[in-house]
Amino acid sequence: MIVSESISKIYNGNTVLEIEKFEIKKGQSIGLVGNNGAGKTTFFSLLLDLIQPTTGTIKNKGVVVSESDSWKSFTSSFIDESFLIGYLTAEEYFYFIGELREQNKADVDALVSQFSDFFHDEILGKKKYLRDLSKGNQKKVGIVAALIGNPEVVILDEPFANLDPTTQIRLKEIIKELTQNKAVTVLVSSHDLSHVTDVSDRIVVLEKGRIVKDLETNAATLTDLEMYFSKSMSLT
Amino acid sequence: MFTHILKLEWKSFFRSANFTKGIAIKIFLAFFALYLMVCFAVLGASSYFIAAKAVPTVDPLLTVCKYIVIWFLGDLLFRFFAQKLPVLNSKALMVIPIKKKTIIHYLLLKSNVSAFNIIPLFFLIPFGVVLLTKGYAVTNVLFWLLSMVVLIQANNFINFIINKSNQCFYAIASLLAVGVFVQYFGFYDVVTPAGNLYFSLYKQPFFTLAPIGLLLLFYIINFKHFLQHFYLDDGVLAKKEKVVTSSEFSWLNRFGDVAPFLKNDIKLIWRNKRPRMTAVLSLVMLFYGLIFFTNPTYGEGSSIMYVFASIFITGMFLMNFGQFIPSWDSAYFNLLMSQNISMKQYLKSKRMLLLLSIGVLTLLSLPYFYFGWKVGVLLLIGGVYNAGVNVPALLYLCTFNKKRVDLAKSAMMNYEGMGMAQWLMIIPMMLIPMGIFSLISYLVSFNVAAGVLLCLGVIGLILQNYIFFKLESVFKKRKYAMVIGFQQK
Repeated sequence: MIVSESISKIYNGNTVLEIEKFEIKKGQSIGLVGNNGAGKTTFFSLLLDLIQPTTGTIKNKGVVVSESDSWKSFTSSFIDESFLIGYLTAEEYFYFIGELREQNKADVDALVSQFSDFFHDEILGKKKYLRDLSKGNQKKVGIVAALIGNPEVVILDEPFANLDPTTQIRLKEIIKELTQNKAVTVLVSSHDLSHVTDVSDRIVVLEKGRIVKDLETNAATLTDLEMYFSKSMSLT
Repeated sequence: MFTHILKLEWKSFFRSANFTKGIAIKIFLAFFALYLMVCFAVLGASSYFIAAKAVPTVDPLLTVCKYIVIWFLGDLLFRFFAQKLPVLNSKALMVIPIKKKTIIHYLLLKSNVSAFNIIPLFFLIPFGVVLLTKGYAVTNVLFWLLSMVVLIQANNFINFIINKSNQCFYAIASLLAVGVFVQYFGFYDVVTPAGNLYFSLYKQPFFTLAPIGLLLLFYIINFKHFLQHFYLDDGVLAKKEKVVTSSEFSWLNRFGDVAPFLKNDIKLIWRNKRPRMTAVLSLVMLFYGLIFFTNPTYGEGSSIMYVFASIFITGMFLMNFGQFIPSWDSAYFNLLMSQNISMKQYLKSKRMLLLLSIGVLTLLSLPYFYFGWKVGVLLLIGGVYNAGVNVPALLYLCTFNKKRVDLAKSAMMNYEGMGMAQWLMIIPMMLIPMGIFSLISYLVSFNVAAGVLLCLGVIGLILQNYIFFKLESVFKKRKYAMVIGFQQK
């Protein structure tokens, strides 16, 4: 589904990302882990054509992302609050995204109603602008909006951060449901090793812009990861 | 304790992102401040003589005193829009051991050192010097000046009290409007009693105690207010939340694939302070035509000022709002760039918004036909020229925008988002059509010149598809710079 070839990003001589070859198959759910500055968000930004790679290309379903807009119709993402329109209410925001993704109001309503337990009655019908919601609630809106319009690729940057425990558990279920039929490719980054191993069938560890581990998730993965990160702590 | 806070302020000033960036704007602002100072100084030095000439039978000081009440009320209105409440990084200071009272005293005293309070001195001091040279009593003049300074400072604190409610603003604005109306049409002489009041401050130096008392009173009111409301969920630090209603604007759906953006842009304008003020200003500027079209001297010769006025009036929204495309969307630009929309659609929606604004403003300016067919025809041509030439020209220049705009801030005296592009825009948009028009109407005739402008506009409209194809590729190239620039607060 997603193929990146010899992609790199260099800022003023600092290499922040350098990945030889990286391929994600359709229906896979990928967890990106790594300490701050490892290049997770940089990779997502490259994938969304928000920044230009210094070298290499990324193809999303065969489309070179920097050359054509056509990948946008099947890709959706929530990276940070710059993906929210602060002066809209949650409903208006969902309908706006729906309109862009060719979904009518009924479609959007049907999808959003599935997440009423996720919202805890704090978002829908509250007559508040998104800018007045708490960080956690803003995040919930952004994540649900990224599921509108049957995307084939869903990109979520740190979706578990700022969420309360109940919602974290519910979000894990949502992501698992998405990838159940192997139709949707999900990319998630997280600092929470246990959550990310729960939802991903492949874990990629980044360190200083390079892939240092690429694991199929199994029962031992979490222990592996914990070992790895505690070691890198003792090394530095 | 004050020195600690002062040190913090010093660092926050010199280390702020604004300080290191935007030298051009800094220089412009410095010149603007200098210009204001000179204006006030000249006014201060000459108003005695103006007053003496205008009303020779009355003491010039009394004449000037009469107008001070209007000045003070106007000052208050201007402050309401432009002067910000004193805020320093209070959130961080709340939890460390500094007395609350110290912080509040500091905030209030800091507000005294503001351009709003300093610039009037450039009027008052030269005026006072002139009074002294004209043989007014030294003590009386000094105390009168002191009273004026104290009253200006009182205005400073009154502003913080009224700033909390719009009702206060409307009350003062209508008071001023009614006062000017009543005075102008001679129903009632408002300024004379007010003038006498201010003049008595000169005659009786000890009356200065009254303004000082007022100043102290307003200071204490502010102090008490801040002290009571110095909590995160209260007063100046609180985030204001409003209950809002969702709106659909489904009538805009007829615009097809650009409809979602048009609806969004209308919400953007309606629900955010800065774009709302910009839009309202565009409507207010419709009356600007009255200055030009009522004055027959502007219509003589090439009618060049009519051309200026018609492009200005019909293109006010285009210029005021359009200059910050796409910076208005800077807070959620990443969303727009990764959502299922093409650059072309995005640009088309902006163009549609601008065209609609030109249409509306041109329609609203039709009553100016009253001032003759020349005016009316030029207004229509101005609209067409704006639509055909200025819209694509502006959108092209907008590709240079890469500064963030904060939607919640006031539009008055706000230079956020300003860059080179904003200055360059004036040349093609106003000077070129005026130049073409005056040249042709000088060489040939008014009719031909008007025809040429109309043709240019129509050609622009015909070529729009081609122009948009070009614009799209330019935007695509600059998009990455915008993504980076819009993230920087």
